[in-house]
Amino acid sequence: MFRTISRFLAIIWSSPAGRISLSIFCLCVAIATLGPLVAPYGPTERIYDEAGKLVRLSPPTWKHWLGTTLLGRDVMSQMLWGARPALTIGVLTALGTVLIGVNVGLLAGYLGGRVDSILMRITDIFLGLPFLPFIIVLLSLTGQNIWTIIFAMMIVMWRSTARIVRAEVLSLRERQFIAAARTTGASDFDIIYKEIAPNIMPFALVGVTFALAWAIITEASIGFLGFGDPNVVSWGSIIYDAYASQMMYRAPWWVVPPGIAIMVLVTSVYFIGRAYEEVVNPRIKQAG
Amino acid sequence: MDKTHQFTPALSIKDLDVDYNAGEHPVAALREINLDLFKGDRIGLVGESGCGKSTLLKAIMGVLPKNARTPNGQILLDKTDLLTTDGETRRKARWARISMITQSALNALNPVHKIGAQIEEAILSHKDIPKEKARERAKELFDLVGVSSERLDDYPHQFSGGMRQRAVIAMALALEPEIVLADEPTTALDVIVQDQIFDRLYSLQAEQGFSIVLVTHDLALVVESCERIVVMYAGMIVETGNTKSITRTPLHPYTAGLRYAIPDLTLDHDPISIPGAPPDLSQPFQGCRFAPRCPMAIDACWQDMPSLEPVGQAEGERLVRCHRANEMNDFRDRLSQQDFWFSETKTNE
Amino acid sequence: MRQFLIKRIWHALLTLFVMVSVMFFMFRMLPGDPTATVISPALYPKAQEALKAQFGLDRPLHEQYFIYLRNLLVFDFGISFHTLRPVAGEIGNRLINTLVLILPSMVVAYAIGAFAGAMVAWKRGSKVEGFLVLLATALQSTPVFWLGMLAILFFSIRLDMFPVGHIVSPGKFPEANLQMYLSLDFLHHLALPFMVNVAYQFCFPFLLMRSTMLSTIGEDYIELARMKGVPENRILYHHAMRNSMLPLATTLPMILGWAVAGSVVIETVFSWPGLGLLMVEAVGRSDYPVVQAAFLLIAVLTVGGTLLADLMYGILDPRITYK
Ligand SMILES: Nc1ncnc2c1ncn2[C@@H]1O[C@H](COP(=O)(O)OP(=O)(O)O)[C@@H](O)[C@H]1O
Ligand code: SF4
Ligand SMILES: [Mg+2]
Repeated sequence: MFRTISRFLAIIWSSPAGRISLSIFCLCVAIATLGPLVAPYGPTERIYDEAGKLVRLSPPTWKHWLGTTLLGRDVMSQMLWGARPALTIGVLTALGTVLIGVNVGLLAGYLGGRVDSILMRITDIFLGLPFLPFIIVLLSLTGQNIWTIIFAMMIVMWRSTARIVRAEVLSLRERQFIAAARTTGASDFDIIYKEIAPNIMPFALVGVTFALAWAIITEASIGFLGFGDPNVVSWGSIIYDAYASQMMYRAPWWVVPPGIAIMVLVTSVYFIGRAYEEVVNPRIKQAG
Repeated sequence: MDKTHQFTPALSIKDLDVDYNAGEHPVAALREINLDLFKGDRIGLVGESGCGKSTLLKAIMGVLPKNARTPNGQILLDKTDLLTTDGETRRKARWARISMITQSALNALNPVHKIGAQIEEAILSHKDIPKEKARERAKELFDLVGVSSERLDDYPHQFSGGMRQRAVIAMALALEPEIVLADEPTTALDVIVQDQIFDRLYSLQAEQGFSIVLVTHDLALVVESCERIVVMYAGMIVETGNTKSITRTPLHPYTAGLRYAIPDLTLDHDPISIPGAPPDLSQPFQGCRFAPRCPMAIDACWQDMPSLEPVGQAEGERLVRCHRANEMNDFRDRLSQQDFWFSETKTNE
Repeated sequence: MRQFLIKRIWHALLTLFVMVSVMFFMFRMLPGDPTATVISPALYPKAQEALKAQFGLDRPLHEQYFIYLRNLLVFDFGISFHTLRPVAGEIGNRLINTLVLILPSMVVAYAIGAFAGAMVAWKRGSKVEGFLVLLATALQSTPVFWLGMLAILFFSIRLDMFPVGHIVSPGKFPEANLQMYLSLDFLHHLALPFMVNVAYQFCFPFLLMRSTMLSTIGEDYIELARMKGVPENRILYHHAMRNSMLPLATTLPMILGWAVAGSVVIETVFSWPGLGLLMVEAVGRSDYPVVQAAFLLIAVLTVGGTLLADLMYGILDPRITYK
């Protein structure tokens, strides 16, 4: 596990695109961790000038680098606060997604037969599920907070990892060392989790990066559609606020920064995933 | 055999070098290749895999990969140098005059097009004739190679391995070329099918008079059928001569090694195998490339690269690249023993 | 081929059936009065009772389930809480609106993406290639609603070239009809969301085609074609591109599904009255019958797209026929 991850980092660092992307990603992680500490204002704090007037829709100034919102909030501070939920939700979803996907793939691929066809049928059904609409319906029924959002995304996202992992397990299953383990009488559980799973790790890591990219965008989209956690300011919800206020077209400083932040972050995640994938598995193509 | 040499060669390769750019050092894939091919010739080009055989054929066909360079040499077809002539002349010469039977018939046929269409494509790329005419020709060709012409509309995956290989031969003969290059044409097939295919190919050669260059890692295959043999090692020709004399009296230790690897009832011992593997061609090297594996290597072998020179007079023209070619009569017996290959001089490594 | 077809259609139907069922039970399992998701709590109690009887909501759950399925078969989706009219009547136009936006833009995005991907791979290592890969990845990483907002900001507000949203100018076409879809006014409204969707959807086919082409170019049959003296252009189109389209075709179902599902977002930004926007609005108003109906239609489109793409793959790849 530790070795796979250090190899992961080494591979990414070895290509220029990977190096830049990893740096950007680390920067975003730094903002997510430290942002709230250095932000000049709270994310929902309303700002008044000396005369006691609300500072509405102020364009960027020295005091407010990225201007203010309709409700007199500092966009710069919101950006610094908003990285944390975007990344936390993204990372947790990606990990959960891959955890489900890898296990389904392992079981289906290794056990084969009945179990395999049932699990794959289920996967196919999930593949046919309209992604965002389903999440929205689910959220409208369960209520909206960080956990339900993560849960809803996980439920629909594990499907691609499951397929990729299964295909790989199918080819691993026939290899020498697995057959050897079987003849020595190792239990299925041991074979799956001690012999096969370590070989799946690279695929799992590729899965994590792509799922992360997807999750960040999806979280933003959920926020934009008005189904985000109302108590949390994230990059997606900043765009939603601007959109809902109907003032965004008069205040580009309000909408542009969060979009760029998401774009840069997700782009770097994609490049990280691809740099790694190219080395560990030239066969599978970038499939989202 | 010598009578052919009175004519000018159909294809003549002169001092050809090929490098591949890859990694830190370029790969010296071919060095100092000189080879003349005459009309009606059947030459066997032999060497372990990685010796540069395919590279040579690709150079002749003009399909070297993008990272390949040809710093020296000429490939003359009539007086045109295929390496320097313009793209259109080269495109026209390909297939119409020199064609190729490729290594893997499965991968060489495009899986999404019908086989007949792929043969017609070869014809239509060179001749301005109606489609139906090309179709006729494709039928004829299928008859020639012994596949029912009803199967022209099949896709490659519907053919057996042997049939695919026949289809590829049909394609190679489509434009009645003067020269047919065959790169390990039957490695993927079982022995019986392999024999059938060679029989067919050789009888077609007898009818149509093209020359064949048969490339293989298996000396036994060319011993049965080719008139001349060219042995390659590490990107260089190490020995050439007519088949009889080469099998009877190999003059290069590598040739001897390949020769005694063939099971032979007239010899009273088991076939041998040459220990070790061909060298990494991206590593700069001084001396004879075979020295690290050669049981006859002496100090001079590690210092100077031998050149390809005529040796002996008795059995036709022989060219050999070995410092000790003249002493071979004393060594031949020992070279046929496996033990000798593991003997003292190996410690030089 | 026949068997393949039947199997695929059967799978598609099964998938839809499972989704319908899951939806049904999901809505019934809400806390509180289960009938609240079928009959508006805002109605008079008397009217509620009448409707309950009409929809069989006083019966046990499994009977309700069968009634629900039976109703679906005749396109009876219940009554909208919001308009108090049958959902079926309102949803048809929405469906068409979604299709006229998504399908043409997908076709264009695929054509552009696949072609551009093939070309940059063919001329490997050019500056254009690096730039396009970065651009495509960046676009893929951009939330499409934000892209839409920028497009509105720039093209509609700044340049005043296109309307800011909706499908036609207000009051111009009281009825949605063929005349409307053929009008210039409609095309004018369509242009911006169309372009944004193309920009967004083009990334995937582009990146996939490029990487497939890169491996196809190294195949033996490309080399053989070259040896055969086939002209370069023909090698490019007839062999390299033709063969590289296969993986694109296998992923088409996924992409079609995503595109239809993604209509939720793009329709919201452009106030485009399609299924996606309808669904979002209905969820906001707790108009559950409409939510369910819109969701189901989107699912039908997604699954139908998958099916179509599967069949197309069977045509493109001769090896698949006897599966
Ligand atoms: N495209 C290439 N790039 C770099 N090296 C190559 C390439 N193709 C072949 N080589 C190297 O050139 C040498 C000769 O290869 P090849 O001509 O295929 O030999 P053979 O056909 O005799 O097996 C080998 O060492 C091989 O690794
Ligand atoms: S030159 Fe020396 S090393 Fe090379 S083959 Fe002859 S004897 Fe062996
Ligand atoms: Mg070869």
